[in-house]
Amino acid sequence: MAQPGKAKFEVIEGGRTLERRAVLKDLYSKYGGSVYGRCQYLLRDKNQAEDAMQDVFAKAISSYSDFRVDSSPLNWLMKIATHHCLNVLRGQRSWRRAHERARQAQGDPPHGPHSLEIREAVRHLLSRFDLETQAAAIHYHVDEMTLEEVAAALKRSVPTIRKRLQHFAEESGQEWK
Amino acid sequence: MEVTTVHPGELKLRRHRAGELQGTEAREVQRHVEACAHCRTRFKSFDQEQEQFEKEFSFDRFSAGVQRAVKSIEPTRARWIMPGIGLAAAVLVAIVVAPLLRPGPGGSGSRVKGGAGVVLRIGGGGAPQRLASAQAPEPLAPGERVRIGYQAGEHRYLVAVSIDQSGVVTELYSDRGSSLPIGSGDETRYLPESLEFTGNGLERVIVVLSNEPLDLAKVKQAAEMAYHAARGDLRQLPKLDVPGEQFHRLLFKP
Repeated sequence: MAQPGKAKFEVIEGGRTLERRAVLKDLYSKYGGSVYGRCQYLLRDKNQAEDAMQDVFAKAISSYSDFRVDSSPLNWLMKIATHHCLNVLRGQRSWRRAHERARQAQGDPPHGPHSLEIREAVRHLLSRFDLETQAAAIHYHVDEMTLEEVAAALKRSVPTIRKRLQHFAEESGQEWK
Repeated sequence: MEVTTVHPGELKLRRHRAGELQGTEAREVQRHVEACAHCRTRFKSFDQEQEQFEKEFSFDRFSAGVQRAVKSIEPTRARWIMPGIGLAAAVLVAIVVAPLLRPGPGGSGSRVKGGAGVVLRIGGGGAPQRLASAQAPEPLAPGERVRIGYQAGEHRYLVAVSIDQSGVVTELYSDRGSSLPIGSGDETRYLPESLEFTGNGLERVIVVLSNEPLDLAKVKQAAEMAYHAARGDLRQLPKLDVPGEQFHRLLFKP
């Protein structure tokens, strides 16, 4: 059913830029820190993190219909940011080797890897796993999403995500809880 | 004060900070944060993170960077998506997906030979205005309204109706039980006022441009017959059996 309304909106031809700026302002104030934080956490490089953050918000603007109808814009952004950064890392062929070299140069942390913050430990281990396991581990351990939430975000079943996280825990030498 | 003993997850706390949680969930998280020093500290750290972010990146720098990235995404998408689809995928798209996306044989395109066309402009919900897709159902957000624009071409009359999932046909634009007289021409003109679609699910908007006035009752009857012919599936609604050029758009109400 349709109802005509007095509350009409004026058609703004060529007004898109101004509107886009208003949308960007809202995204900047609400989500900028969270998305940039995720990019920096994964990429560990300020310039790369800034580029990645811009790409993530560009995707939000370009897919505004999807973004807008998502029940949580933050979930949407963090999922896209995580995937984007993991792809950047995957694209860096020498990432794993560079990571290993850096770790060896620094030496193991004084009290072993278990004394690291969980989020640091997770990041430390990411390069050993496939992309989906990486994303699942980040959403579960860093975002502290439930298994069901991770499954929904990655469009997989709960048993599949549980299996991935078990694999992550086993390979990481952690006890599955 | 009674507080849930389980700490909210980090993402939930961030969503609360962004004002995304509603009702009971928002109140529970707020109560927890007020009573739990650990979560208060975490919550505060998100504020600090945002402050640090704003210190590091001015809005102008952020905006310019994102707009640059948008420009690099948009042409890339148009150029690469189709060549990237393999033969099998292309066949699958042609066989399985295309019929689902097709708005109906009655008129998909926004413009046809002869200069006539129709656009549905969506706005009023706080998001940027946009045009409804002619290829797929266009999702509407709560509060969004629709304005119908037309390029009359050589036509001199317009009538618009919509039909919802339960088969209810609603008159949108007509004049005393008949088509609305319009001026011919190629420029886009918008019909007065905007429309709010109530209820939820799919709704198909049908605009008929013609050279002679059409009887509204006959157009509504043709829409009902088309609905029955499609067995109530608005995605498969055939062309209405009325003279003139038809333009269909499918909306998805929240």
